Formats: sequence, structure tokens, C-alpha cells
Amino acid sequence: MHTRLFPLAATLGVALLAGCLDPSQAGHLVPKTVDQDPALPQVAFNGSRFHFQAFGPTDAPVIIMLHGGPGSDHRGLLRLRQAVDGRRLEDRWRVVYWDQRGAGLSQRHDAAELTMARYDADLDWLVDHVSPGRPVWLVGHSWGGMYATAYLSNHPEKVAGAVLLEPGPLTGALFEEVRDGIVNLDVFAEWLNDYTWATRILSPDDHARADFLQLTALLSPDAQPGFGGRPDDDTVYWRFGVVANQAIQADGMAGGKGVWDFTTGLAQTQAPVRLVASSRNEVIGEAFQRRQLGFFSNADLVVIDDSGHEFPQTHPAATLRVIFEHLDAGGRQ
Amino acid sequence: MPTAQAASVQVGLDSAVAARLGYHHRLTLGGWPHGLQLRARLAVPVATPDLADTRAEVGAQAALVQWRALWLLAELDGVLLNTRNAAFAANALGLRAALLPGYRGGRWGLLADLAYEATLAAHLRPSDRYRRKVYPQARDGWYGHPGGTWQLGVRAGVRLGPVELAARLGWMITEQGAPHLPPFFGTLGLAHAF
Repeated sequence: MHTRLFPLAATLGVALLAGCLDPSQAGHLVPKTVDQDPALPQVAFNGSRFHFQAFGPTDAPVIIMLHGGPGSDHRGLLRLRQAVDGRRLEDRWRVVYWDQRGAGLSQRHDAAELTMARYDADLDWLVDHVSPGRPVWLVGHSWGGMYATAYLSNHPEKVAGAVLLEPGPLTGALFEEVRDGIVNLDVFAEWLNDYTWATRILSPDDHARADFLQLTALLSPDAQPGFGGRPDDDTVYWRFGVVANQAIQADGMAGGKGVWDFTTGLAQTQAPVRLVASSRNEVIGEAFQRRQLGFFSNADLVVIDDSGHEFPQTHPAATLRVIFEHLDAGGRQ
Repeated sequence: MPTAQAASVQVGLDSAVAARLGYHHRLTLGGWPHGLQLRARLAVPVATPDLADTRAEVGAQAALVQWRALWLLAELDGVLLNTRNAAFAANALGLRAALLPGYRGGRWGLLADLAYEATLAAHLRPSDRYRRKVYPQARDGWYGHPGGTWQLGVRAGVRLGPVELAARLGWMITEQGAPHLPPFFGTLGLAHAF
């Protein structure tokens, strides 16, 4: 009897598993990236394929949007396409939205292919091809503000000005001062226990599974309790690139400490820079940005009232007003 | 015929700050030195208790080899894992196998702990929050072999009459060798035989 039951059970088991969905296949738990879905708007350069959209007159001055993360995407920044006070950015500017290397819906890569040097080369390629011979404006949120600063520092002649929407620490030394507040790694934190418990079911062993698992943190309000977010914040994302997030962070670390310095070349530029802070962020909010203001020779700071770190998504009209104000002042210089 | 029963409790960091309650029932088998220890265990995270996050195990431990006080024990457990978090809920079926070579004397023991756990299949349901904010087309359903974990560590125990104190400590990596978060586990336990 037992000798008959075993093959029957084994056959049933194989049949059941064969009918299961594949957690590693994009499209099931996470959306496909541009290399897997040709219908997505995209552009290929520097050995990768990027999720890319541009709006506005092709001969207009260019704004390049830089999303946060590293690893996140530009979905939330698209809220800055809306009209405020009867005008839209893309009425007067060519506005480029894209997902950075290995991030959002852009092609995935191994960690070795995700470095700050490549990120710098990617943005440089983009600047040269969307705005040949004319400096661009950079608008970066969070990590995107850090990325914009690094580019401004390395290529001051190619940047007309920037709006840095609550950028993270521009140097490793500043990061060390606030690192405990950036991610809540309290061993009793609910989001952390939820994440680690879930990894016994779903291993982060490929891009699709790792990116999906990361959302347990991204969607948990207690992962960054000091950032002023609220549970009902209407924030949206497409997909988070975990390997890009980890690789770019690792590229700026040595011996477990932050060692990057995105400010080394800022003395060479007088490009107008506006830093924008949220009023509720207790970690990298107004007080922190006031310190970062000192890295720039031609910069000011504006605070968005009653907002948390995701203000470009939750307060797009207020965000657009401070962007317009800065562009109107500096863009005509 | 059962010769011993025990109840156990274990607390510590094992994929989360968790507590595990167990019932153990030893069967003597003719000539088999360790007998066959059947067990049922239930673990829940205790940092933020949530009964949607549970782990139930039913299995057995037996000695494969014994020479004097040196043993090679083997364990096999069926595992039912449940979770619910901001991104998804899941119920999963898995198998855990472990080899425990080492010293096991009358009063104390020290064993290496080499374990592999495969999640064979999981029924995953992306949350409404995930669908609303991230990916509306995410698919509910049974997913095949979504994960696996290696645990490499040591177990130590001291017996004081009917009570045994035990500690487990070690490293965890995913099936393909990536470190877990956190990359280690460590628990303290107490078992009382009756």
C-alpha cells in the first residue's frame, strides 16, 4: 500500500508545484522592467536600458528630474506635471523623467555594474543628449538631490541651476550624524520584524523577489518615523530596485562608515540652488538642510508647511510653486 | 511506548524577535540509542505580537550515529509559515532538515547545527495597499518554491535534573548565499521533562 502511495503523492506534489506561479518572474508580484516590456517608454545608453519620458517643447531649456532612493522611481514625481496657478513646467521647459540605472522600471544589473561612477556617466550622457551645448536644470528629491549635487560638483559647466527637494546627507560625515534617524533599525520595530519574518517565506534571491520584499519596508510608516510621513499619505511607486539601493550606498561607505563627499567641486559654481525642506521631518528637515545650505555659494532654503519628506507627492502644488519661483528668478539670468 | 515528554520555551532572534513553545514526546525504538523524539512547536514574533505571523512545526529528531558521547543527530520538520505585512499576506508550506554532529554527555552537550529550510509553496496575496500604491496587477495565488534558508551554527545545552537549558547561535544565509537581515540567529531555551 505504502509503495503505491509514495509515487502518487510525489506525482501530485510535482503537479501542484508545476501549476504554481513563479515568484521570480516579473509581472506576477512586481511589474516588468523596460527590457522585459517593450511597450514601456525607454531609451538605451551606456550598456543599459532606462525607463524614460520627456514632456514639453524639444527646443526648450531642459529640466532633468532625479528621483529618490537610490533605487526608487519617478512615478511620484510625475505629480509635478500638474498645472499650478495656470501653468505647467512643461509649458516652458522640456522636462525629462527617468528611472536611474537598476531602479524603478529600468533594467536590472548586478551590484558590480551599479556604482557612482556609472551613475555620473549616465546622467552626463543624458545631459549631453537631451540638452546638447546648453546647461540643464536639475530637480532632485531625497537621494535625487544628492545625485544632483554630485553631478553639479563634477560638471558645474553643464548645470544652470538646481532645486534640491530635501536631499539626504551630501557628505558621509553628515550621514554619520543622522544615520540612526534615517532608517529605524530598532530590533523591536514592527516593519523590521515584518520584513525579516517574511524572508523565511520569500527569499530576496533575485531582483523580482528582493524588490517585492522591500515594499514591506517602503509601505510601513514606522520604517522612517522621523521623516514626517503619515499613514494616509497618498504616495505611489512602480518598483524599488533593491540591488541599486544597496550597491550605491555601499559605494559611498568604507569600514561601515559613510565616506562620500558630493560637495568637493561646488566652489567652482555660482549656479543658483534652492534647497527645499519639509516642516515635519525631524531628521533631515529644515535644521539639517540649513547646515547643507553652507555647501553652496549661491543658494537659499524654503520650507513646505505641514509636510513630510514625500512632499513632492503629497504637496505637489506647493512644491511646484517653489520650483517655479526659483526657475523664474534663476532661469532668466 | 513513550518514555519521556517535555515542554519547552525558546526566545530570541530567529528571523524576528520571537518566542517558540514546544511539546516533545520521545519514543523508544528497539536498540536505537536516542529513540525518536516527536515534536510540535509554535513560534510567534513577540516584538509586536500579531497572530497573523506564526510558524508551526511538526517533526522528529533521531540519532543516525553514536559512538560513546559523540553523536550525529538528524531532524526533519514540516513547517507551516504565515505572515501579514504592509505589502502582502502569505501562508506557506516548507520542510526543514538539520544535521547535528557533536558531543552529548550526561550533563551537557555541544553540537554543530547545519540546517536547510525550503519553502515549497506559498499562497501569496499582495495587500490592498500594495495594489493601490504600487502594482494593481499583482497576482494572488500559489507560488512555487519562493524561498530557502541555510542556518549554520551551534547548539549548547546543560541538563539540571528534569530541566535542560539550551542556547542556539549561528549565521543565516538565503538559499543562494545572500546574507539574511539580520544575518545571525540566537535563542535561549528551557525544556522541562515530565
